[in-house]
Amino acid sequence: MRTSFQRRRLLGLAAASPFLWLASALKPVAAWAADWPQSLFNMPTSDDALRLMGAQAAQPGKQILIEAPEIADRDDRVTVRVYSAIPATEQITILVDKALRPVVAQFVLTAEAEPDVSVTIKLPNTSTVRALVKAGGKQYSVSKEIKLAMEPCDAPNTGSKPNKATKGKHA
Amino acid sequence: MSLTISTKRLKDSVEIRISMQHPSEDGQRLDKKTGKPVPADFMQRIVVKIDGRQLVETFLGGDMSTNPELVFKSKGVPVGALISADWIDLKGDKGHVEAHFAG
Repeated sequence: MRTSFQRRRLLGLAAASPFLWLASALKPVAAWAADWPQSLFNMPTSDDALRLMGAQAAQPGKQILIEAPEIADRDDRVTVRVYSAIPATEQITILVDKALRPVVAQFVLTAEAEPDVSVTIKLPNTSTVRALVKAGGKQYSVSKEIKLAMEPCDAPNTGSKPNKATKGKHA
Repeated sequence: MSLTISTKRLKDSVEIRISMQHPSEDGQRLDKKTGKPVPADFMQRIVVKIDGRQLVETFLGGDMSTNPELVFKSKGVPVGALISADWIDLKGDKGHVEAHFAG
């Protein structure tokens, strides 16, 4: 089992590193993790993820607040808080456009939870961060740009997508 | 791989902070010694309950920070309430943690 998993991982590696996740995620784990929405977390772009969630036509989320620094000092720990004032908010999904896998977190809230969640993420590059809120069967979205104080200069292997706007610039 | 629950009384709700000890490897980072990518390993699912009633189910991807933290709020946390969290990561490691809300 162990051997075949390692072989599969090596194959995934050989094919292309973006598939590494998929290869790892395919390994047999406890059934409890089966609820993890693998296809959603493996989507390569925010658009793909929104399409998968049927949220391409999400309404502007005027009652949703993304609280995060305008400029993040470090790329390895950025706190993002999402607060929704929309009644009956039942789900909050956070996406980072420039991440290799944009869906970073999804919260399924019961009526006992306040629609107010925080999470600490990696920010591979200056990026638009989106919050998608499902409330009363409708979807709402809002976005905010978080700038990285120091753009990574070792472009390969940073795990981020190319950032044309800031390429070659250093803050 | 571990998780701790801490609570704080706010004005009209209770804050529940979930602090995890986890490397949160996204599968992209290269091992400096071997030059090979460190295999993906990150927290996948965390279910938080208050006195056995589900508060929130969280799914995470590989772009969490190392030792990630989650913060939730609830108005339905009586003093002495038992707050629990069940977690599982990509490798299948899992755990169950409980804490009482002291007030």
